[in-house]
Amino acid sequence: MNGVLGIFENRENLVRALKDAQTKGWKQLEIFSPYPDEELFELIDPGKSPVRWMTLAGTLTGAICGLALTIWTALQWPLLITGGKPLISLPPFLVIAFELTILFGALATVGGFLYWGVVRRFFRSLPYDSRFSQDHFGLWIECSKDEIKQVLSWVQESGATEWKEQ
Amino acid sequence: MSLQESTQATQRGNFQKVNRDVLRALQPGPLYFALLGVCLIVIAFGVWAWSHQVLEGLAVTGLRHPVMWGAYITTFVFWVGIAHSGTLISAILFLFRARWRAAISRAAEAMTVFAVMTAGLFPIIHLGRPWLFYWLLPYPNERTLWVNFRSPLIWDVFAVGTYFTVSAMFFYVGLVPDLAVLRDNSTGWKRRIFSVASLGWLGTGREWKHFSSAYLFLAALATPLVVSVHSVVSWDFAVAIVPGWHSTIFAPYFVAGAIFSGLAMVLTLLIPARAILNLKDYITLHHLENVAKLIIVSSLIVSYAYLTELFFAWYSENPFAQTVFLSRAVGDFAPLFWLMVLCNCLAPLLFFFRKLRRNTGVLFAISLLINVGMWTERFVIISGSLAREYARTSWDIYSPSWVEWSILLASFAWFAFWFLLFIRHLPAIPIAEVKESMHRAAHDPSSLHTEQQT
Amino acid sequence: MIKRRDFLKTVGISGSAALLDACTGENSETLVPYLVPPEDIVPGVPAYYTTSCRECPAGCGMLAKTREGRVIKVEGNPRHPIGRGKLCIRGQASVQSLYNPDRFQGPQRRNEQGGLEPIEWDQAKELLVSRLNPLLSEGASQKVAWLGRLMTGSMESLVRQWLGALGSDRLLFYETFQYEALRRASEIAFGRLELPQYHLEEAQFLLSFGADFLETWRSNVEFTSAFQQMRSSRPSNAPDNFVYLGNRLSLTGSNADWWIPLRPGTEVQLALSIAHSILDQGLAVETAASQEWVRPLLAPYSPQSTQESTGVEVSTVRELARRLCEKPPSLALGGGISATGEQAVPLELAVLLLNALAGNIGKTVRFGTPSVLDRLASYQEILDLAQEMNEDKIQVLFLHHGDPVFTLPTSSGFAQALDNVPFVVSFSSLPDETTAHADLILPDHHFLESWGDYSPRSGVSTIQQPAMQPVFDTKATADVLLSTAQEMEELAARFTDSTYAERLRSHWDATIRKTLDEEIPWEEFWPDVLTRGGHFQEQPLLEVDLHNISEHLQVTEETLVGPEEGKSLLLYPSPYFFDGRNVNNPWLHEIPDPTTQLVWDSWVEVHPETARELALAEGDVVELTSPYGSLTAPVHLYDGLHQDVIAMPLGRAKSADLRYASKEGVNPMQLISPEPAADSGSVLWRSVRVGITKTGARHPLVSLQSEGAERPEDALVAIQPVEAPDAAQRIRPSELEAPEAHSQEHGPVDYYPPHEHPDHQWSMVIDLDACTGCNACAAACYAENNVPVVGRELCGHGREMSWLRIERHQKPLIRETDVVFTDRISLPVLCQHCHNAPCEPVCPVFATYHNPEGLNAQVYARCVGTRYCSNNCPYKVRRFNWHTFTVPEPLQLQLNPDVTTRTAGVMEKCTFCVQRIQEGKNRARCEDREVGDGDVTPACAQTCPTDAIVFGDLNDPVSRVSQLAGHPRNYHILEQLNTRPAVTYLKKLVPEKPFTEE
Repeated sequence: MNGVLGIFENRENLVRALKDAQTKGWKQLEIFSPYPDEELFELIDPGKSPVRWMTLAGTLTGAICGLALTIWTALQWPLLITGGKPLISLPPFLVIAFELTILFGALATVGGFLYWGVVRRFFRSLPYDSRFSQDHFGLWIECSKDEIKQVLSWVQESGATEWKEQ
Repeated sequence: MSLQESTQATQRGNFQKVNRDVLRALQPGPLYFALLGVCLIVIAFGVWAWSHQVLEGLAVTGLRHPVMWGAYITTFVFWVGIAHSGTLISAILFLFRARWRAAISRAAEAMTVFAVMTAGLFPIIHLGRPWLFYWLLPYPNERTLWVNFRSPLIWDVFAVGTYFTVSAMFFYVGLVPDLAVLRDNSTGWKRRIFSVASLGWLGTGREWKHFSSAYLFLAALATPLVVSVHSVVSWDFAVAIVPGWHSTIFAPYFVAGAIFSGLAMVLTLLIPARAILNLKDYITLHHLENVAKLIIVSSLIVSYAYLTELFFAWYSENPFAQTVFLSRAVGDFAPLFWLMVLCNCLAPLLFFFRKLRRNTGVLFAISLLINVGMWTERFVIISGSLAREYARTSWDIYSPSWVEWSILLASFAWFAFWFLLFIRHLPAIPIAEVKESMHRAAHDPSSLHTEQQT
Repeated sequence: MIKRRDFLKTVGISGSAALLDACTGENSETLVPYLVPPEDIVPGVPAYYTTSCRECPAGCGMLAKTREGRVIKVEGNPRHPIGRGKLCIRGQASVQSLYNPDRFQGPQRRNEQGGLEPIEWDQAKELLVSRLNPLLSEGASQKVAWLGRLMTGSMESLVRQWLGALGSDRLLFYETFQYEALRRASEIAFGRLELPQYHLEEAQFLLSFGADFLETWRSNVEFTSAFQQMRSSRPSNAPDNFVYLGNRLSLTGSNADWWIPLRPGTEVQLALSIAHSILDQGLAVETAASQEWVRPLLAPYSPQSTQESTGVEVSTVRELARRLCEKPPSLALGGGISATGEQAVPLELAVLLLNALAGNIGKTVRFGTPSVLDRLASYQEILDLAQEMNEDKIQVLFLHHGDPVFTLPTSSGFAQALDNVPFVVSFSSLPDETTAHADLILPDHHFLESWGDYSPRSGVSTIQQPAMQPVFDTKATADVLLSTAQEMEELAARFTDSTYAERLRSHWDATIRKTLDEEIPWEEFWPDVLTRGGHFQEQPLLEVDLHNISEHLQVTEETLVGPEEGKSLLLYPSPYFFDGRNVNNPWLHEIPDPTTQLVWDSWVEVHPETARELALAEGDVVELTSPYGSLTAPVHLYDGLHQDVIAMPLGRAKSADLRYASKEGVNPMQLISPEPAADSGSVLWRSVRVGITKTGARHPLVSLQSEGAERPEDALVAIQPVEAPDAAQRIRPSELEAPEAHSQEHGPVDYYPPHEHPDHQWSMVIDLDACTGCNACAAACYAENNVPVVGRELCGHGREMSWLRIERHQKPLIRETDVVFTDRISLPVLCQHCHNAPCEPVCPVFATYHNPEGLNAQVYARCVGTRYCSNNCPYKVRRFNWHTFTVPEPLQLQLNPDVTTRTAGVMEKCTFCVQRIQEGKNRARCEDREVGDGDVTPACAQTCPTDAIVFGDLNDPVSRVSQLAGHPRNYHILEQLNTRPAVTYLKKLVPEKPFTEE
């Protein structure tokens, strides 16, 4: 995949450059930052993360599994009366259901993060600079071979301190 | 160099400093290995004591008819309680946008995970036939005999199990970006390990987006979880008919107590840690003071619960409940009871004085007192009630044997062991979050929480 | 329809026949596993053998339950007139004497070093023969003497003949506790040298002068059930019909309604003043009152004049007199061990006089049925024997059971006399103080291993069958006598029977079958005897008339030797250990003593007041000093004493090398006087005053019942009339009229609907008014359910395992008046098998659950040991295995194969004897019928002498439990918890009025 990576020393320049780039109509953009910055990722990828739906699905499954497990197992051996309580005594079973709701919800959430946040990224070969994890920001503009020249010159104007092309 | 100036100057210097400081904290020294060694020895002794108990039977403990639960269950509840403040700080305060928690959240989360790991051992240690502990897990077997979901002990299995899984995931997810920092600052095999551990984290906007979303939802799930876990633990007692256990206030009472003891443990851990690891610029007096303020609140709640219990006993005119509480107030358990009142109700009141709650020495001392006090509280509730049950003719007095004491000690060593490993191999300060809050500080001076330094 | 038991018993006969040779030890190769299985031993099916309990002279009928050829439990023989199917705690524990690990494993000889060395039986016989032959050759007479336990029938005839052949008739029957005074008194008063037969069951009012008939006095099981008959018929509005006069509140005393603490030595005055008051109030029956000597005799003993010395109010004496006579017949029981001093005979006379005046003679006091006890040698005669021994008149002395060196007053010098006898042969099977002086030990079989017969009183001949092969290399004494005789040419001709069993049969044939009115062939007679357990016939009542007793009734001031400031010493037979013969039975040590709740020790009981004066605390070791000796023992504070008295149990400790016997406080007998009573020749049990000095040492006593009352926080519970466990069992007539106050119906209280019990609903009713607290049930439970014994130390740590405990709820005794309300309740506590059992839902692994028959089941294999169930059990009846408890060989042979033994880390508890329930159901199924009432009886209920425990099926409307469950006196312990126990208690009736109206 071709494109140009601009490395910025401070956030303001990056934001300016990013907005500028978007007006230029370059679609395939990605930014790099050492910390989560809502402003930035709102610019680069507006809208809410789909992870929330995973969470919802997980919790619902958990609740159902919890009740199913407790009730089904209780019915497996119907002779086991304890403390004068009926086989299916819901109050205690709800405790189990609740815990499983949380457990499945959390697992699903992490699953969601791993899918959208990690797995999906493996299909895109992005450049990287170890300073991104420290104090630098980055802007990656994906473009066709022939556009590279033009993009590169733009990047040099954009306030980036360094740039790489690939 | 303080962060005050940094707001005028560029952030780069600070960001680099954060990395530098945090990474510097990861160079082991002789003291570290000494501590590690001590922990390992104590753990070994505890393991030996336990194997002795497994071979001989529980007669080697101080347990007796009718006091069937003692130090082990007390310690279980104690450690589960410790875990809670970790989640409080990392999840609940996060939801409340209390940004100051950033600096201490990583340590708190770690504490949660290790505390649950410790607590989880005790239900197994205390079993009469520990080699059959897996019978408490619901797994399909040829007898189609499952577990008794009506038993609070099974609720425990699920609650504590869930709690461990969720807090461990929460801890790890939060760690991913910082693992990337470690990766970028290490070489060779370490680098390889960290790049795998950090899931090849690049710090792209989209990663950050899903990361933040996941982190938010995990926090949102952890919050009800933490409340439920200690409620369930309290129900181990509240659903029993034992006078002194059988009380509706137990769930909130225990949750408050858990938070209370946990916050104290946070201080106990962080005050030495920030000194040894020179993280004073990140874990500031301001943080400690905020923790102290939380301690005041939770301490007052706990004290209120004590009073309510006593009131119930008196007002209900239930002679059995009255007997139990009399035995605590003026009977055989009076010394422990008043020790607990001193540590949990009176000592924390000192935090009302700004001078004292900003004095690390005082903070540390009182945090230790609270740890002692909260262990005693659980001990008094658990064995104190059992020793004074309905059947007066069976009353007896319980005091732990050397086996129980050594296993209790070993549990602290076990906890410390993991915490030591943690502070030497993983960033004790959440790097990205600290940078984020620095950035916020620079951009809207309204959120200058982290910057109030003296 | 033949009942299974009878069937098995008949089966038992052929079995015993098969075992018979085995018992002579000849062919001991017919042990399980069988090459050719005997038809009477079906693996898995118990065989029962009738026999006679020989733990004490009472001689209750006994059934030995055997499995695969070993005795696993003993129970009373329901067809036997003595016991009627019940056994006391000692009888229940007798299997532990059988399998006792410290028994002699074979014959032993004293060697030059003075130690005992094992030898072979042949050597032993040779040795014996070699010592006897010289006597025969020189034709010596009276050179041989025999001192041993009571024998009757064939055994006695054999021994007499055998001694006779050796030219001697010195055969003395010895028992520690004898009744010379009573015998002498009845001879004086009625011209009969025999013990009167008392019929408590017919008495309307009972007065006991320290006679502990529920524990050790004469025939306790018989008396206990008779006592229950007497109590059950009393009116509930005036339920106080038993007054106990004595200086110690024994178990018997605490079952009385009123206790009159007597100053030691004033019993006679009191008895006579009661008699005086009877005449005064003109209540006496004419026949007695009309005798001209009576009034002069009683004149000096007006209640006013005796009040000074006895400390008993006039009004009280008058009331006692009134109650004795108002509803005839009544009964006055005289002189227990505690009242046996110089004044014993006068006391017995006075008591007989009371009975005469109240018109009880021939009704509740009968003559004409001599007891075997009548044949005991008096202490005086034994002293005479000792004298002869000292004078070298006795060459060979045979000691047959009993431990005279331990149980005779030590200063009587019997031990020294024993050492003076050239050759002492002991047949004891357990090492004791006496065998320490024996030269040759020929251990006898346990009574469960050997043939025998015993006749506790005329008209009752009990057969004693061997129920199993001998455990050790022991021989039946009778067979030893026969075989040695056959080895001595002078005797061989006269002892033709090859075995004792043969002789036994011919004896029964001659002395019983042939004397019967109608002719019964032997083939019918003998099986009938074996299945019935003996031959029983009613004895005719003998008419007696009252002689003039005045010149024998010399009332003198009782003189006690010893320091002035000292306390009168009262030795009482231990309810569990009698005179110490079964001191090595661990169950008896682990089951709390009924009056003190103490285990595993011996002690001296001191009144709290006395303790305060001497600054003594519970567990302080004191030295007791009398003119005759001294000993040290730990102190137990007991307020059931007269203040002038200190009391000490006899037989809880022995110095012999026995692993279970306490070594603290042996031997009380060294404190008392060696002088025999002048008039009756009995031991002067009450003869000394002892000085008490604190040694400074401490020996904490272990009590299994926590004394909650001593704790400050307990004050609250104590003042709660409804809640406090001990107050909860009170019943007043008002409550009798309003039973619904105690109804078990809670109806809508429950959140969940009640669960079903389609087939059976097992339930138990315990009548606290009948329970005497004798603890026989506890021992039966230990035997039936393989309950482990944990020992003194672990008991101290609260690790006892008993499934059934009898709690003693006794308020501190208030001594405002001369009459004390014995505010005591014995509360048997076992698993209540609650329908809403708190223990069940908290178990994570279903180790405990509620089974369809209403049992609270405990599945040991499934238990992981969270112990939550025990925490949540309000009755604290669950027991946890802190160790894997084991028993020393060969005690494990007693274990019940129907009950699993438990290992460390497992919870256990009462199962309502589920194995017996199963057995009952199987039996019903085999006989193709429904399970009926009485098919299932748990061990505890089976042996209860007062039938206080009733078990059955609530679904069966005609069962006794169904009827009793609705009884007006019913209640559940901690009913307010709504656990819905399957165990219902019936409250104890207590008098609501003071003893005397005025």
